Amino acid sequence: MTETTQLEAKVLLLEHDAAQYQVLTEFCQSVGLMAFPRSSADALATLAQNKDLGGVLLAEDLPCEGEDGLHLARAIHKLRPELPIFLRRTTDRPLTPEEEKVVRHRWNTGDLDHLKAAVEYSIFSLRYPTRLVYGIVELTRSALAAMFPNALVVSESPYVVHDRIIHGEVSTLIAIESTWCRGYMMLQTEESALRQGLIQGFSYAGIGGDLNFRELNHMLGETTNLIWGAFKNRYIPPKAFANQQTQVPIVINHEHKYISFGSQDPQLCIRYQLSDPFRPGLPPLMIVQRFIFNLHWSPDEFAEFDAEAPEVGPTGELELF
Amino acid sequence: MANVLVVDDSNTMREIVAGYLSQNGFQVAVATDGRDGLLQLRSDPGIKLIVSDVNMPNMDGLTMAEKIRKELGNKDVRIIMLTTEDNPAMRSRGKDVGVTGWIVKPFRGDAVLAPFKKFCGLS
Repeated sequence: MTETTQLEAKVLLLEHDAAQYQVLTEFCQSVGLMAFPRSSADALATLAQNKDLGGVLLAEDLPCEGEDGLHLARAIHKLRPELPIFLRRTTDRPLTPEEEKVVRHRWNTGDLDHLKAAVEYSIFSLRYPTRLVYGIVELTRSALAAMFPNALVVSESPYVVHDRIIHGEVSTLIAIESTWCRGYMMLQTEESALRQGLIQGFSYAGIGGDLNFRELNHMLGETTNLIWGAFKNRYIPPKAFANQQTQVPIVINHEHKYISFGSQDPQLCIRYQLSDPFRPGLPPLMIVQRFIFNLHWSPDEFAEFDAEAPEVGPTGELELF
Repeated sequence: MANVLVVDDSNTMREIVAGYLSQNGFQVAVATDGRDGLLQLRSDPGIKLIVSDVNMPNMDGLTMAEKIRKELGNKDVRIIMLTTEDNPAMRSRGKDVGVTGWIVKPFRGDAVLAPFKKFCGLS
């Protein structure tokens, strides 16, 4: 059996009962949860400040603007539905269907075994092998040190998140495919912090030009490429290459609404307008479609394919075998 | 006229490699992918060494190397792949298409300066 790492996760702890607070603090430590204890008044502000949470522990009887904790649960769920909420029940009243949807797990005071099972199920549902996690940290630190040779690179303890909010404005995305996984790796950072680091001389002299946002994108893109290559060389066996295609990092800068697929070629763009036939004066909804054939594009091969393309079958029809 | 052509889709890598080589006496031209690399080589017969990435949009480095040897008939220019790729099958393909050497990124200038100078007749 593969040894797996007990990763940590950050949780918002919303508990006003002193005894339960103590119990839950110890519980969190025992199962690898980093608790952020907050009052109901601070809960939403804390959510706004922490975009890398794993869940929320909430007491039903938490005072909240004259109502109970479920009022806060609804507000949290509306803002961050991906965060599982674990509700400590303090009454016998049945939850409404809406409350059932908002609360992922309910547990009764004292039943920590139930809570632990729920945390394992909803927060730590994927287990990551220890050697993989620390291998990734090692090769990433090495790649960062190569790209930013004058910076001190320190890695924090790996943890799991359920939030899907991107950190900062600049991010990259690259496909990861092996015999044992298929997915993506992202790097995310703040544009201003990256620029400041380069001004401070983290990288090679003269690299990054005038440090405009495209130059910063390039830096993060190449860093991604270096990590991806090292990952591939270490974790992707040759037999996986048969089905593997070339990848280049996709760079996204949200601040500038910018996305690069690494190619200078024109993208095929089609705009679709959806308007209300009964209200022609209203502005239409515009949907923009783009095709980016950045990794391979051959009109000649398309022509060959098109000449012998199989007829496309009907859609929406039932085919019985 | 350049004696080295650096081919990489990453602006950052082009700056790192070209910057280092320029500081060490090379005349450097740059290209953004294999297709651009072929164009540059055609227009500059003085190029003696190509340092190229493998994974690039439009045309990868190995395809470029193959075209240099077969379509351009250029057997003289040295082609060094500077890439994150380290798998034996790809190296083998590189050898088959006429690649001279292989470097796994990251780029360490001091490790390649002497042979690069020799390739360009600078030593």
